[in-house]
Amino acid sequence: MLDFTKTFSPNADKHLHVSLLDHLKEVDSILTEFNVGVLAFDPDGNMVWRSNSLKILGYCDPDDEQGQCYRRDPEGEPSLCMDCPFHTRFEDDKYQRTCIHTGTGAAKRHFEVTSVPLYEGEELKIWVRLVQDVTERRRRIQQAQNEEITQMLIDNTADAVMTTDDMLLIQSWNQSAREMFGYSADEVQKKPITNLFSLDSDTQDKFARIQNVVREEGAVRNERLLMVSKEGRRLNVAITLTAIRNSREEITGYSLIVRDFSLVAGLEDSLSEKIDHLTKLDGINAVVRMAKSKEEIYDAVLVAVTAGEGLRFSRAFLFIVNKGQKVLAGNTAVGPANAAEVLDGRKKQYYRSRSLQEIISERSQQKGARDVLVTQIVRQLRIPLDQKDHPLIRCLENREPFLFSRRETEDVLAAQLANQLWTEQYVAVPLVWHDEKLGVIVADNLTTRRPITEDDVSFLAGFAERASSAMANLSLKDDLEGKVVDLQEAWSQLDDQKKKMADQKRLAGLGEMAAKVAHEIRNPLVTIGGFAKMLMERDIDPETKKSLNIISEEVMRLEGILENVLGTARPIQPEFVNTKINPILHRIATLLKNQAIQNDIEMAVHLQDPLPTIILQKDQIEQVVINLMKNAIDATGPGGRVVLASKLKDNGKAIAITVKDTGVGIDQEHLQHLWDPFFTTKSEGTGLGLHISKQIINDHGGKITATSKPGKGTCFEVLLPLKPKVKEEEDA
Amino acid sequence: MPEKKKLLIVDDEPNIRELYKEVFQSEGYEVVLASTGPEAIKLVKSEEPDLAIMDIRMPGMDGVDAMHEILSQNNRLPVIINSAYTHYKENYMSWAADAYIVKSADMTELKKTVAELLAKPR
Repeated sequence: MLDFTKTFSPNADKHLHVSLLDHLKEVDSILTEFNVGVLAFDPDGNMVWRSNSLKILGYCDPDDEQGQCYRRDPEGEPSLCMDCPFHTRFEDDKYQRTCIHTGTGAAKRHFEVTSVPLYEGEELKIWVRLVQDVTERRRRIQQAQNEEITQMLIDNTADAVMTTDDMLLIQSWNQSAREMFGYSADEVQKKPITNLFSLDSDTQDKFARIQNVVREEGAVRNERLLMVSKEGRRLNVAITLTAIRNSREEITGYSLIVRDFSLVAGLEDSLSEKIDHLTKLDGINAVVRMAKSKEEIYDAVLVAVTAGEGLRFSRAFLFIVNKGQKVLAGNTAVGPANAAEVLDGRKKQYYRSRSLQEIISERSQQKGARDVLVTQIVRQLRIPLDQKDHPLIRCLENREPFLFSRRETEDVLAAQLANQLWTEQYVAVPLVWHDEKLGVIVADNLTTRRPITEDDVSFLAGFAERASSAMANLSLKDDLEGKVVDLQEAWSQLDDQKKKMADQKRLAGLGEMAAKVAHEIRNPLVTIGGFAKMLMERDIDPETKKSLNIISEEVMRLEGILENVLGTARPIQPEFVNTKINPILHRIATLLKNQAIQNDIEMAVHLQDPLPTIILQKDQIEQVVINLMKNAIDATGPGGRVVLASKLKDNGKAIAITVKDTGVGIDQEHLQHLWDPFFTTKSEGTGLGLHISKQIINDHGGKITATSKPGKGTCFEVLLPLKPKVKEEEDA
Repeated sequence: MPEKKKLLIVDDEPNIRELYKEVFQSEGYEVVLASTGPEAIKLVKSEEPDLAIMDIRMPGMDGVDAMHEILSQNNRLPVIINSAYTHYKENYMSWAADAYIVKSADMTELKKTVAELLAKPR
């Protein structure tokens, strides 16, 4: 048993087999070249010699005087080697080969240590230990193994994997590439990889761009492109292109991984289409549900079927079941009436440039904007519900979509319908809600001539289902609303009737009363006025005569009022005269001054002077003002104040006469009835004063308004245009 | 000098009667007054007036009835209906009155009508 742990002894070589050592020493330089270190031990385990090459291997500095084993770390500082790999104990006397490792990570090195016992006869003379650095070899093996795995992976992956030289000429081509593109490896060898790409400019441009990026950045991953197989099948692929560089960083070739998305892309497309459809349906549904009337909902349905954002048919016809007449009747249509109208691109543009919501809301705002011609066509179509062999009735009865193509059918009625609608192909879907048959939507592609696909049909049918529910809901709502409206109408009619009856009763009573009033008033008036006139004709002093004249005039005015309000026998046609208003107002103030003084009311007159002349019916206006003044005096208590004023207004186009008091005022609720006939709050009033006043002012084209604060007073304003409009019209 | 024409004034209002008496006397007529229908009928017999001016709504007997009674005795007597009511005017022809004049302080029309009716040959 040898112990190599013993320290190196420089004198030990005396005991060594001199010739062998000499030989070893001779090959030392060669050993260095082969990266092989040699150590020699005597049978006792003492190292008797070691080669210089060990130094190169980084172990055991032979110059060490102490015979210690050193390891040189990369920095060159020697450190005592406590676990020298070459001091491994020999287990027995046999030839041994072991592997030892030093360092970690990138610095990890592998050594193969072979111990060879050398005998002289039966006697063990020397141990020779060969140390070989196998790091590189192991790496190569590892690499070879990795490459093998890589190759295996490449051969078994579903992706097409190929390599090219720096000119993009194909060098390797895996199994999947063969399957994907249909070419064998030989067929594509040295051929440009660009031949595999689609020739469309988009793809070519994109691949050129990808190459540029790869040259700059080394790799481009998962870029979607179109490639073409040997049979000319277009492949929707994602490519990963990587530059292969040599140690000098020069591009020596490329690797290309191609993943075929054709199948996935197809699935993706159909899925997104489905999602799109569903979203659209929901959108359309929402729009349809927003509709408030039957007309709106019908229109929304048809626009949804035809608009770009909707189902994209070029025309749609709506047939509605008329239960009363037992027919399926054409109701509304959207789109061109016939091939000639197709040329009107304006409409098409209109639909394209707007969202569904916009189109529908725009259309509902301009009600007459339906497609008149096509609607006229559809309205001529009325199919009896019992005509069971008619395609639309069948569609409704069986609740099944019906697709008509002229070339494929012997169905005479269906062909006839195609003729009526000027079309070659159409689809009909039923509008049914629970057991209620509502109608049928017919759609076609007259404009685009795009064939109607099964997808179109199922999509339209899905839409029809939703539309049906919206329509059914609406008709239910309509029914209810209709009933409510009927009831409300009945109520309001009853109410009106009641009011009218009350009014008539009141008016009848009032008419009678008015007649009596007229009679009662007229007799004393006649007496007063008659005597005054009679006296005036006598020889009397002028002062008395003037007074009698006032009496007479006032009586005549009163008679005029009676005539005007209560009688028709001798209608007075008061004349419009151009006059000055202020003298009239002065006269009224004088007339009522005594009454005011008796009631301890201060009366003030504020007249703007000068005022332009005004065209009016003197008596009538006088009556209005007197009425207002009397009311004011009546409403004002002792110590109060009544002001009569005139003023130019409306930029000099009108005169305002105001009568203001500090009286009791008028409640808001009374204020609005102020102008009603026979409305009065006074115990002795007829309630006609303000009503007549308003009529008179209206006749003048003027305005009379009242403002009041209860407890503070009231202000009446009469606004009279200088030239009454009524008059002008009459003149014209 | 022709004989003074005699007017019968029928009205329940004393002030009206007084006014008319004054007015028509000053116009040169002889005036007899009645305050009720029956009174008027009596006076037509006793006084033989040339013309009657009648109110139509009076207590006791309606002026129209009274007028019919009078006319049944003397269908040549001109009768003027003189009322405060304006709305009966359309009916006066059917009542066989010669005129219908609404009462007014301005008696010009009434005076004119009286003169005209009296001037008409009977």
